[in-house]
Order: sequence, then structure tokens, then C-alpha cells
Amino acid sequence: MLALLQLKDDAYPVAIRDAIHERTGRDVSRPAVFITLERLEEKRLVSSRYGDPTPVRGGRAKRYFSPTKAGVAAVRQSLDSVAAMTQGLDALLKRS
Amino acid sequence: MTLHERLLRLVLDEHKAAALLGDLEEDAARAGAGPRWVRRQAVRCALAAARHTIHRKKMRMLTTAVLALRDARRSIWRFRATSALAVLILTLSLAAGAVTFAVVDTVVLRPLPYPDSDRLVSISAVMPKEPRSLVAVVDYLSWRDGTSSFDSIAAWRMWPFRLNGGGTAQSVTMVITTASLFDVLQVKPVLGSLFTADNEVRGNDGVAVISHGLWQRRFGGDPNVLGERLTTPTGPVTIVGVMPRGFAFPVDAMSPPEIWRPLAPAPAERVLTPDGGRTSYLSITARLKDGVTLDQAQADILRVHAAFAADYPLFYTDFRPRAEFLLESLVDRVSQWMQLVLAAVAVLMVIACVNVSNLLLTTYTRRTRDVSVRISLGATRIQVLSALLTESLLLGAMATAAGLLLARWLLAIVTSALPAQIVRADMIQLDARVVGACATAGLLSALIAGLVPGWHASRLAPAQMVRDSSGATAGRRRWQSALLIAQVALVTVLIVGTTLLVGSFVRVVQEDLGFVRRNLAGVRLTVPAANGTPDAGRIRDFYARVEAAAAAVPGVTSVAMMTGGQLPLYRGFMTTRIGRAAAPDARISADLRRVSAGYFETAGIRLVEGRGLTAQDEGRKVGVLDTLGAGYFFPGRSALGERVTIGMDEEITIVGVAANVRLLGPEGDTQPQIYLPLEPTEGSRVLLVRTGSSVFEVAPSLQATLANVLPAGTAPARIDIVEEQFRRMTADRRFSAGIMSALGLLAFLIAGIGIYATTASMVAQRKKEIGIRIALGASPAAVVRGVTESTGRLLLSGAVIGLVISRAASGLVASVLYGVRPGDALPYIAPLLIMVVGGVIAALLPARRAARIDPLITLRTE
Repeated sequence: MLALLQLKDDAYPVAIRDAIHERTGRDVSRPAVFITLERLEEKRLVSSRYGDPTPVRGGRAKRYFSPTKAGVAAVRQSLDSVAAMTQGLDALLKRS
Repeated sequence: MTLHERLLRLVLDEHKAAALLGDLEEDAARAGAGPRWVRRQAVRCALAAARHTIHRKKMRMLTTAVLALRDARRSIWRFRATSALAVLILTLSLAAGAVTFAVVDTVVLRPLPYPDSDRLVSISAVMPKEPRSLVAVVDYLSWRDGTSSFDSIAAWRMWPFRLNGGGTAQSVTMVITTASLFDVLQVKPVLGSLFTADNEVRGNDGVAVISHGLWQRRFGGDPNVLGERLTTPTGPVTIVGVMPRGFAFPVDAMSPPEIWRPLAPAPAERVLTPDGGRTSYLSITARLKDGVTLDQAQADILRVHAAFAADYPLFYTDFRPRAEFLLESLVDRVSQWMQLVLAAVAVLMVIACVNVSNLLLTTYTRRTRDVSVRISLGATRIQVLSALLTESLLLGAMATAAGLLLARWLLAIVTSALPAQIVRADMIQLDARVVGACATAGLLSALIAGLVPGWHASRLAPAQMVRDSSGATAGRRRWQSALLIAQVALVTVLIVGTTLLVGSFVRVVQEDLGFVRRNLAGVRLTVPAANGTPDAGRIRDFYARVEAAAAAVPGVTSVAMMTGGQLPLYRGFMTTRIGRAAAPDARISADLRRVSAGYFETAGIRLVEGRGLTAQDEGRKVGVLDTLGAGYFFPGRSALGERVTIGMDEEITIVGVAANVRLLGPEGDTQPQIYLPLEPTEGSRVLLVRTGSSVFEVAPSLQATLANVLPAGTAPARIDIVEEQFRRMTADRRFSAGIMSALGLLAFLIAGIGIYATTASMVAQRKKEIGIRIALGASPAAVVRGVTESTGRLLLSGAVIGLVISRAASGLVASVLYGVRPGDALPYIAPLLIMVVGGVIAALLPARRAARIDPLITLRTE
């Protein structure tokens, strides 16, 4: 979800995977990215649309994803929770 | 389209699959990977998508099921009174079904506990009046030596007696058998050895094999039991072997078979004697050779028998051997009435289904609104139907659980009441088969019960339902009426069946057997063979002592002696052939027994003409013929003074004619009987005792007196009380009559509940109409009359339909039941009255409630 927000209008699976790798150094498998996006869409936290076909993709369209309002709210809530839970732990977390 | 594209299209829609492939192509172009890499990645994605889809569907189904169950639970709680009634009805019928199935399954359907038991056959003799007669030694020998269809063939007889020692005396069954029995049953001892054909000779037969149970009880499982001695009525035996745990043969013995000893027939029994008498006391069990069918074996034994009988045309005109599977021969009689009871239970279950169906339908008056809301919100007909069916399935599951608990308790009662001669009765239990059958029946009944109401509710249009929620549709009322009529018809059928069965039992018990069976006992005795074969003088002395001692016992009014079978109602008798002296070729089979003076008085056999036999007749050529023989040989005239031929050439003069005795009980026909004076040399006799007071009270002192007369070391005398034998003989009838009565009563109760609930619901639906009538001046009595009349009409139609069905089916039942005449009116009138009167009483309560309806309140709420 955070990668989607970062990428704005250019969030399609290849770019999402790249963004995660770039920012976290983690290599996420392609099926994992695909299934996660499917499940988020089923829960109506993201929506998808199809772009124009490009030659480098064998003439196939890109499927762009963007967060829905509910999706943005869910991200916000998660971050708030993380912030709330980490409050007062700065010193401890820094040391470790 | 390539294979991986096709795979992706299987699990994803066209656009998603294309976009995913595009991503993979883009990745491949950037990384410089080839088409193989793309294919591999596509397959991985397809598999992941498939897993995800399956998981999603499972979750959806689970959620749907949980929701449906929650709805069903709520609905059951909302209509808790009706639901409880429905569960109660299903529980009762399922418990009855489970118990009956457990009994029938164990007794009739399961194979016998021997290896390849489906190859075991029983061979008996078919006589004109008896389908399964015992056979004589000569017959067994001719079949054994002549046939080629059997691996082995064994002859055996049971000898019940009281085994002394080891604390208290105990009733056991000794089986006197050929050694081949163990080959037939394919059984080996756990200790020692079996006896062999060499032991089947007199003098060499003092050995025995004992059961595992007797070994444990009497000898504490001592491994040195071999060589120990036991006293039996046929002399002492030395134990040579112990059978494995659980082995029992025959399975239909009254008391457990615990001792098997060799059958050593006297040399005279091995050939046909010129006088033509042969004593039939053997049962034959054989094992079919592999590949031989029962029909082939039957043909084989018939061929052998025909050749043997051709040499003795005089003896075998009406005697034919018959081979049948052992299990069939054991359960043939019980399976008939058990099937009848099973059919009754099936009818009971259908009644319960119809009843529950009707009960559920009554709740729909109040439930139409929910259903209509659901349908308006877009629920499909299938969804509405499945919601209602879930509810009845939940009811069914509850009833199954309760039914099994009830069945466990009932089964303990039923098995303790089961007649002793029913094979394997001790093995009846609620096992996995019964539980499975009960659960299936429970869910199926619930499903069937829910179908009519569910279908009815789901096919209504929402507008119609909303309109309908305040009153009743004609459709539903029609359904309710139809179900009520069906229910009443089925209950009537069941009550007619019960009446027929109970009536048949009463007839059996009241049947005149030709002798007085109350206060009569028999004691089988053998002269103790202490020092070789006893002579006539010793035999006479011994029995004179026995007779005098027995006659002196307080309460005994008369005693007599007999040989050649035991009176009455026992298996085993001596058959001979008799004919008119003037026309010796026209002969028929007859039971021959030799009796002492006072026999007819003691047995209570009515003398129709002439006199009985006296002490002076001993050695004289006189006899008493029964009415059957007299009617056959001397129709329309007196038999007194006439002469008949017995066997080959013995001629006697008839001095009396006695009533025919139904030796095989009320349901068995007999051949003619002829009584001759007792021969003084006969060592084995039956002492017959008649008492003035209850024979059960006299028996202990008789037992004690006989113990004083019998030499020390002999087995104690066993007193057979005839009334008890008769009760045992008719026990299965008593039991089936009892079970059928219980089922009939249960069906009647269920129907009563159903009639009450249906009438109550109909009254509730007609509230407005009744309110208007009362407002217009109808009296309470008129309202009650109106409601009961309309219910009464339904009851009468149901009962009449039931009677028509019963009448049509009575032909089938008549073949199973004794003394049932399909034309009798009583078994039909009684159920009709019971049903209509009982039903009207059940309808009265709601009718009276209807009469108290306040028109103002009703009309205002409407």
C-alpha cells in the first residue's frame, strides 16, 4: 500500500516490486505481489484500471493500481497504530 | 495460445492474465531473460492464483454454512414449542428404528462367526407336515457316504443338562456330534486336541472337548485340565481339548453349548431294521466344496437319497432331504416377523416425517413475513428453500443424537426381553453400522419432512406472501389436510397390523394342543449303566422305584412313563409306518411312542373312544391310535377292534382312540400318532408328572426326591416344565406382539400430537372467520362442533384409506401370521374406531379454544 502511495499514478506490479526493492532492499516474488494486490482489491482497499498496450510488453496493457479512500484510511490507521505503539520506545529502539 | 497463457486463463480473467503476462515480458526484457523464464514465472503465478481462489471459495462456503446454521438456530428458538415437538417425534421414531435395526442386523443380516460361513449348509428332512425335520443315523450315513458336494458333513444333537460341581449346578448344553463337525466349522482347539472318527464307537466315546468359558469358570483356566473328568447324563467323559474363546456351536442352543462329545450310534441304528422304525434326532451341518452351488448340492443329495430310498420304498414315500444355507435355516422363522416389525418401523418413520412436515407447515403462518422480506431483498427460491431445509436438518441432527441416546437405553431393555431361542441375541449392540444407519435415517427424514413446507414457502411471490401473512392460503390448508389424511391412513395401517399380530398371538396361546399343558413336567432318565448293560429286571426295578418315589411327592397327582420321544413340544421322535391290516400297502408315516399305564390321564390327553393302556397290556399286541390316524384309515366308523400293521409285520388291535396331540406346538401340524404298551427292556424313558398345585412349587421337592433315588455320581435329573417349554416356544410371538403393540401405541401418540397441532393451526388460520361467526350469533357449541366436524371428516377419510391399504396388504401378512383370516372384520373396525375417536379427542382442545375467541379482539387485530 505504501509503495502504491509512493508511485502515485504509475503503480503497476513491476514498478511496485522495484519500489519495494529500492526502498527496503527486499526482493519480493512476483506471485506474492500479484496475489497481495488481488486480495487488496477484493477487500476494496485498492482499485485497478488498464493502460494502453506497449511493445516492450509484447503488446499487452499495464494494470495500474491506486488506493481507494478506504485503502488510504487503512494505511493511516496502521501508521497511527505503529506510531502509538512505538511512542516512548525511541531510546530503546535506537540502542538496539 | 501457449500452454502457460492457457493456464493463466484458467484461473484469471482475460485482462488480468494479459496484464500479468505483460509484467513478466517487461521484467524479462529488462533482465535479459528468455521465454523459458517467462513460462516458469507464469506457471508460478497461475498456481498461486489457483490456491487463492480455492481458499476464497472455501471461506465463502463456510461462511454461508455458519450463517445458515445461525439463522436455523434462531428460527428453531423462535418456534421452540413446535421445534421441540418435531424433535421429540423424530427422536421417538429414530430410537425405535435404531433398536429394531440393531436387532434385525445382528440376528438376521450378519454372517455367522465361522470362517467362510456362507459355505455352511444345513440339511434337514422335509416331511409332509414339517418343513425341517430331524434325521436318523441311517439317513446321515447314506448322505455322508454317497454325496460328493461337501468338504465334510457332520451330524449332531443337543443334550441340555445341569452340570454339577464347581460350586453350583449350572444349565449347559452338551453337543453330541461326529468329529467331522470341527472340519465343517474349520475350528481348532486352543489346548489339547479334538476327538476323531475313531471315538465314534461305543466304549471309545468317553472323551469331550470343552468350551473356553467352562475351562475358565470351572477349572480356572488350568493348563492341566486335559485328563480331568466330567459327569454327563450319557456317562462320564475325559476332557481332551479346549475350544478357542468365543467359539459356540450351535448358536441357537437354549443354554450355552459348553461340552462336545462324540456321537457313537448303536450298531442297530446304522442299518434300517425290518420293523421300519427309525429314530430321528440328528441335525446335519455341512460345508460346501469350493465351486459347488447350493442347487448342485441339493441335486446331489436328492440323487443319493433316491437311490437309498429305492431299496426301502416302504419307509421313504413322503420324506425328502433339503439343503439350505445354515444362516437361513436358523433365522427363517424369526426373519419373517422381524421383517414385519422392520416394515412397521419404516411406516412409523414415514408417519413421523409426515407429522413433522405438517408441524413445520403450521409455523409458516407466522413465518411468511420473514420469507417474503427475504425474497423481496433478492433471495432466490433455492436460497429460501435451503435455509428452510437447513433448519429441518438441524432438527434432524438434534433428533438423531437424542434418538441414539434413547436407543442405547431401550436396547438394554429389549435385549433382556428377547426370546432366548433367538440366535446371537447376546451380540446385539449399538455399533457403527447402527449409528450410521440411524444418522442417515435421521437426516433423510428431516430433509423429507422439510421438503413440502420449504417448497411451499419458496414458490410464493412476495406480494402474495405479505398479503398472506395475516391469513391462510387455500394452498397451505390443502397441504395440511392432505398430510393429516396421509398420516391417519398410515397409523391406521400400523394399528391394523398390530391388531392382527396380537390377535394371532392370542390364537396361538389359546390353541387346543390335544393335552393339558398346565402343571405338567417331564424328566428324562436313563438307567445308570454301572456294571455293563442292565437287564430287564434291573430296569423294571429302577423305574418302579422312580415312579413310586415321584408319586409320593406331595402335590403330585399322577405319574406315567413313555419312550420314543418326549412329551410334548420337544424335538425328536420315533417315526414308523402304519397301515390297515386289510390293505397293508397303503401306509403312512406315524409317530410311535410306547407308554405306561396312566399315560393319557397324566398327560391330559382326551380319549375319544375306548380305553387307554393299562399295566395288563404289557406284552400284548394292542395300541391306541389318535383321531388323525383313525380318521385316515377308518373314516366314518369306529376304529375300536380294528387291526393295523406297524413297521413291516407287527399287527396290533386298536383298543382306544385318543385326541391328536400337536407335538410341534400350535403352529406345527403333526402326523398321526400311535401308542403301544411300554417294553420292559427300554432303558431310556421320560417320567411324566402331573401335579395338583403349581408345578413350579412341586418341582424342587421332586428334584430332591429323584436325587435320592438316582445312584450317587450320576448327573442330577433335569425337570422340564411343559408350560415353560410352551412359553419358550411361543416367546418370539409374544415378543413380536409386544413390540408391535409398542410401535402401534407410539404411532397413535405421534398421530395424536399431529392432529392436535394441525387442528390448532387450522383454528388459528380461521380465527377471523370464527370471530365473525361468533359475532353473528353462533353459539360456542356450534363452533366446537364445526371445528371437530371438519377435523373428523379428515380423520375418517384417512382411516378409510388406511383400511383399504391394510385390506390389500393383509394377504401378505396372513402368510406370516398364525390363524389370520384376511376376511375378519374386527381387526379393521377396532383401528377405525380408535383412530376417529382418539383423533376427535385430540381436536377438541383447539376447538374449545376456538369457541372462546373474542370476536371484538380478533376483528380489531385483523
